[in-house]
Amino acid sequence: MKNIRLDKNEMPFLPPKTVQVAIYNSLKSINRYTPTEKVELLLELLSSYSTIEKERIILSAGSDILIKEFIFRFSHVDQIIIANPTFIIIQNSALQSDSELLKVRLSEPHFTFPTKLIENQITKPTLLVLDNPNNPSGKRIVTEDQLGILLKKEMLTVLIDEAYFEFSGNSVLPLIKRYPNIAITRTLSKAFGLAGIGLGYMLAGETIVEAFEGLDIMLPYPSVMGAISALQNKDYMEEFVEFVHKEKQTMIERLQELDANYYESETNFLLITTGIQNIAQRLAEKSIYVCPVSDYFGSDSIRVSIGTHQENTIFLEALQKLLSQK
Amino acid sequence: MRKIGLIVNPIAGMGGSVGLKGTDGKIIEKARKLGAEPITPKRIEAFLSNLTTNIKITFLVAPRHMGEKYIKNYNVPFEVVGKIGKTTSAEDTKRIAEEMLEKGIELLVFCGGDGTARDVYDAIDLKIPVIGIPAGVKMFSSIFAINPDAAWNLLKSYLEGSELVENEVLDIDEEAFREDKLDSKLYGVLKIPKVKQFIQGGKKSSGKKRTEAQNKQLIAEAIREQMRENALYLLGPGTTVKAISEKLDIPISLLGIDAVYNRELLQKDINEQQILKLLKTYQKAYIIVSPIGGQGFIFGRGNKQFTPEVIKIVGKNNIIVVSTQEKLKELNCLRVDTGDIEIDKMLRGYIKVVIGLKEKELIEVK
Repeated sequence: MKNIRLDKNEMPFLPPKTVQVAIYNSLKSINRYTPTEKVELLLELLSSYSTIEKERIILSAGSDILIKEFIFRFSHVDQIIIANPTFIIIQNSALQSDSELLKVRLSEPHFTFPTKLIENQITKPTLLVLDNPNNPSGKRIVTEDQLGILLKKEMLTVLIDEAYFEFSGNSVLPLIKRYPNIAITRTLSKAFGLAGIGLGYMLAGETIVEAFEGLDIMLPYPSVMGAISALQNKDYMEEFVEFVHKEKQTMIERLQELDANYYESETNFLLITTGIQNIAQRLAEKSIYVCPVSDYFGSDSIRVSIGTHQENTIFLEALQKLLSQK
Repeated sequence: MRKIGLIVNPIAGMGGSVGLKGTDGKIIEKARKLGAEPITPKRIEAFLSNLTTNIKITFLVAPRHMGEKYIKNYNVPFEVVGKIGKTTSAEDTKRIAEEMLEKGIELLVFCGGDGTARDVYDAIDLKIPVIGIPAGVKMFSSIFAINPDAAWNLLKSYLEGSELVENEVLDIDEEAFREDKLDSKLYGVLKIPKVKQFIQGGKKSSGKKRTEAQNKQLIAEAIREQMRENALYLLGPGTTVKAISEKLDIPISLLGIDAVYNRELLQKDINEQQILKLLKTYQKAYIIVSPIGGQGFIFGRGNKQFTPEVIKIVGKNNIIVVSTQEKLKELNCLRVDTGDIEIDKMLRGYIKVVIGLKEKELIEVK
């Protein structure tokens, strides 16, 4: 049976032919370093896409690297604050640091980050790293206004990972123009469906741009060419986002019928609580791969990506079967 | 062939349906008269229905309706251990569990409630791990699986080599419970298997995975480092808090409250009156507590010596909560039930929990 992969929040289709061809053509000069003008072109495209000047954009081979690098560069602070649960790369990188780590439990069902409370905790140089929307809850955990209040504290440096920004439509971007101590990471791996090229970027406030000076990462030529083409043809991304919202709604309606517990999500995945122990394993036995989240929730909870209509249907049918055996 | 013990408390849970809150002592006759139906058969059947012939274990079971009766229906090797009379009691559970231990079982599965867990603890202690199939009315202990299927998954995990965790056996005074008073105490600690993580997500959690025992050591180290001179520390019950005493190299009372001053034992296993007296002598005082696994109570279960008055004198800011991440991740929030609404209110909100050497988690108290 064909494997159904709903565990990594990828786009379940290939990007359009044009993008594929751009990547393919780059192979014809793969013996050369990536031309500077192509990197410049990519920066210009990202600048217009993100509505921010290109001097504030830092490119990298995947946003994971930027998150790790960011935490590393600011790890001289006294404390790092992260959410719990959060994107695993954020937690792992924070654990590597020598600073004190404060995890803030996000309470169900809204998973809101308690900014008011955190304000009192910032009595010493602090780094705050959040993913917004949050993974694995799929929720927007902090708003621009809430974060704006925190950013008035000069002792605070903030990184917000917006990997799922295109699905959510919400961003804290305006804050970058007002405060020097905040940055946002984004990626082409999710809504642009280019997980395989590993291209991420950071939109940064002034202080952070300075801190990152000298980080010149050579980006692979196929990645740069793929990213350029994707940004020049971004209609497909918008169509995909629309598809995800529609398909997610269909899944939610079905989950309601099945009486499974799910959380409304601003992303291309859903956090579902099934009441079936080891559910991820049970589904894997049927070649359906979903992400277990038992580091935070019980083994009956899973994070499921929105796949193709057919994949989602197969998942729901398998879930229904397991629920009826309960 | 691996040997697994199985003991069923045939009367556990009977009081619940007739509103009797437990069947400890003589109350069982009353329960029967009120028409109480035994609930253990259903629970044990649900557990055993997962049995397949390819599972390579021999069950050592208690006689008749304490185990034998149920296992007989399945095509698996088993051996009956011990003898029982017409009616059964706590003594039967204890005696048979001990006999099974002598016969070399490596894990004991039991079906019952808090009272049964207490009997099992008396016999087994931390010698071997146990799995509790929930069937009682009082289920305050955090050692029980959430349902029979979950208990089965624990057994499967154990056989495949899962880690073990220590969880609390709590019991409440049934006499008081029947009068709608809730007074629970920490009775002991049992070892249970942890559900094994069969598959990992795409991005793995930190490579440097520590065991729960290592985490306890780190927590103890963190507390030792932050302990102030000339301040009184009241160490609550439980193994996480007691790891601190061990780190300080002072004797411990696992289930009681100990007073520590300048990293030395001041007084062991003290009650409320003794605590109040100490609080009069020592100006600066801290309470160190750990949540009850599975339920998250930091006050009001298992540490009644910390009365509302004691908590009030010490003050919210001087309460230090410690917990392993393993225990904390099972909890949605922490809870308090001191018996005093005002004190409960004061304790609510977010509180910092020490979870490692330099790691804390901010979590809500409800």
